[in-house]
Amino acid sequence: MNLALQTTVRSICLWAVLTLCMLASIHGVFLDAPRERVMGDVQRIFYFHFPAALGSFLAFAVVCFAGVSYLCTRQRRWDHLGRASAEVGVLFCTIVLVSGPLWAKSAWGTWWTWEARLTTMLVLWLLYISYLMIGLYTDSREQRARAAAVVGIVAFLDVPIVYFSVKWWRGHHPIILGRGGEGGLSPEMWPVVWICLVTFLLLYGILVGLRMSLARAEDIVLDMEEHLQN
Amino acid sequence: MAYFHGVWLIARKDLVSESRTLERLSSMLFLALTVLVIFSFALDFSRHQMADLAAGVLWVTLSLSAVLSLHESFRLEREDKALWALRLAPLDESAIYLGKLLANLLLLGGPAVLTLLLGALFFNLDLAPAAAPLALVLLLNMLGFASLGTLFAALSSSTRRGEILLHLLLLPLSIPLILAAVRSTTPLLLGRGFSAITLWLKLTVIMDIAFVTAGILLFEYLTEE
Repeated sequence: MNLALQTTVRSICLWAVLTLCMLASIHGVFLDAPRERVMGDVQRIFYFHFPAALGSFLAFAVVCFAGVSYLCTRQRRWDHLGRASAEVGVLFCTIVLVSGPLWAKSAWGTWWTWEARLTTMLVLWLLYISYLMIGLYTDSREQRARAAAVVGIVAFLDVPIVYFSVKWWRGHHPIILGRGGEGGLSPEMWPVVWICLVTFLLLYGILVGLRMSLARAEDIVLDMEEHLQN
Repeated sequence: MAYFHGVWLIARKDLVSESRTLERLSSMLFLALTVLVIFSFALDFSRHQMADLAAGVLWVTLSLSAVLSLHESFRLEREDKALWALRLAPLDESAIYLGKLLANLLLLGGPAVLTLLLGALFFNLDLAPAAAPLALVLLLNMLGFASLGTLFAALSSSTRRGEILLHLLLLPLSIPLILAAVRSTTPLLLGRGFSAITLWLKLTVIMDIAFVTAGILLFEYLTEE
């Protein structure tokens, strides 16, 4: 089998698995998961909100890792990985920032509160938007890659700092993991959470893969342009 | 020892060249004064309980004016490729960073103290009882701000529209610094003791250590040509 065909088959398989996972998630979220006692159906937002939040943290960790790898090896693929992961991370972060207020309006009676985790997500969103804007203000690909790597590392260093500073400043968010409390999940909810987590991880992987191959194609075009100019 | 001598030489070079023009100091002070005046119209200082708001107003003013000054810190190095000469010197890259950081800290700290005094004048605050802890808060937060600022100014000065880039990068990254600065200044202005701010001071020290370390390790990657 030639390489192109192999790639096509692989991506069709991945998309098929993702589609199945998404259907299973939607089925789980709306039909299998029990109705929450206090919050009612609004709680179902959580099944999208929580995996998106975890996905964005994973994405930003990958940006940091890709930054370190780029500075050590200077291979362009690390730069592609960093940028792809940051874009998907910002996308997931946006999902969190949209789904959070939708839920909060019903549960807390207000769209937005300056609550620790919500505020942390907003600051992260700003941080990584600025990361994505580096490309607009740098002059060469090489400079952009170096700058992005450094910013990706420093921004990830900022993540725990932002979280703790905002936490000491404000706080009331349902505690999902650990002690039960207001947001504790009943045992029947956990399988649905897991399916949604797997789906979001798969979505993350596929989107990053797609974005990386696009970045590779962009690079090839730019290489050819430079070659023709010289 | 030679390392720290090199750091000092680079800092002194910046301080001497600044002392001949006073460009950065005057523009930072002018911007700070303007922002304070704008705030005074926006918030009506005469009516509000200012001690609550003063810290926020002061730190927004300081961070905005500091970005302006930081961008200038590498402009001279880029003109006529002076940075190449600096990098040719028998010094570690991190010594260049620390020298630049030291100069920036002093060049931001001076106008910051004056801005604080101006703010006290405008807001009718008595700074004297809390002078020592305030100086510590100012020093620690300016160190954090200058360490990030020096790192990214090295990048922003090498690009065409660097000043925008510096704002875009520095302000979101320093949100926790500004938050900690405001949280530790407010109790001091309200006359509460030093113990009220220890948590925030610890956080600031952690940030300083993290950002200075990041600067030392990453600076060389941003000065490459």
